[in-house]
Amino acid sequence: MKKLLIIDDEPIVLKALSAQFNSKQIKVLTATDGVEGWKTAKKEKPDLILLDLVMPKMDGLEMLAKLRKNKWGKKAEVVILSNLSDSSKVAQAVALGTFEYLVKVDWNVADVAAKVKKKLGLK
Amino acid sequence: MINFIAPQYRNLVGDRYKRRMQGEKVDNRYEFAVIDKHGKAVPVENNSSVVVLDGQPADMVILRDISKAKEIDRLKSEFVSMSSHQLRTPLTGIKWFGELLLKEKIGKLNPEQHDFVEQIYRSNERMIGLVNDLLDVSHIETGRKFVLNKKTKDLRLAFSRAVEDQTLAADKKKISFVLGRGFKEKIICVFDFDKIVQMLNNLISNSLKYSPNKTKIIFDCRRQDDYWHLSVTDQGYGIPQYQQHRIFERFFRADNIRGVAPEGTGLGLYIARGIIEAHGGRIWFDSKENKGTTFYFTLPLRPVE
Repeated sequence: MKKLLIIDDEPIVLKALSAQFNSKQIKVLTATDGVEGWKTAKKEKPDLILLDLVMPKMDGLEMLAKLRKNKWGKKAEVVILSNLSDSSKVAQAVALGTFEYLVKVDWNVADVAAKVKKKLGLK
Repeated sequence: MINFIAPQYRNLVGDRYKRRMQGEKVDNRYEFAVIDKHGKAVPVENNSSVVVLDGQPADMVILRDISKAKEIDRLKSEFVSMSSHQLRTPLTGIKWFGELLLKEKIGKLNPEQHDFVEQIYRSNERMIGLVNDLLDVSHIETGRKFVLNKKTKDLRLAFSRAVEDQTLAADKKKISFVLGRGFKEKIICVFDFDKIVQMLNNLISNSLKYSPNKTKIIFDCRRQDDYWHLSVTDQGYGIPQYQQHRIFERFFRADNIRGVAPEGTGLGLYIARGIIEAHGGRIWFDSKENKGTTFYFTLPLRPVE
């Protein structure tokens, strides 16, 4: 069973995405801000993190920087899923070692899910 | 005197000065930074002309402090970036749940319901396109060029992708695409695939919108010096002579097409030019009313920094 952590403050994103995964294949964990996301990541050590950028309490890039300082977090797989497409943000995320940067509104939910499954080595 | 120029600009300013003094035509409106008496860098706009002083050529320079304008620009682009992010959030919701309904994940839709949801989905896609266009415009405006993800590829692939994107619209009007001789061989170039496809989509969708049924759109390509010269020709309504100088302006729409296709924003060509110029190319056109329009653009064979 693979573990996926989705960190996003938008309930619609969590709802639409979670519905895409077979609960027998993937255990979906969610968090709605960077602080909660960081705590959950440390505790659960998910196989993949889908990370939003603009969030309350602690934003995505701050959380990512924190994650990269952690021994386990250094190697954690992170895909940015945000509606921010600012080139400076993309550059920062890449510098912090992200696998991919997806702009939500340009993607169908099924395609995001397919990407996640592929990344987790599932069909 | 060169000391008050911020170090990273000294070569640029010195080089332009030298070339100007030698009589070369150099663009004299450009930006750099100077160091003020507190040691702080201040952005300035240079405007200079060569004058004769005591029988010798001299450079008369006017430097305008543009720090206020820069700050306003920065705030504006931050505002556009944040507000478009805010707009994209609900648009994502409509898109994703619309998609789930259309895929009948939670139950079957009757044909009429399917059609209605599809209309919602399509309108939403248009809205997403508009927000993306505004973001692109704000990038061009602030001089923060597009960040290009350039790779070496066959340019013909970008054309076929754009044609694929436009097939539905073309079929509706029975408009066909024709490839010129230049497309028989590979057109290898270093470019950002997505951005060039976007640019081609803008050109082709214009041609489709502003051409009568059963006409043709012709693509061609030739190599000249260090550039590929490409063209997209339609047999459409053309652009009225008296408005041709405004065609690359933001929000410009020609008088003769407003009735034909009410839905344009007038941003397509403005963005197309931004994309081509970011690649180090040029874009221009030739148009005759009721005969058609050809858009020409160039892309360098080798990447430019």
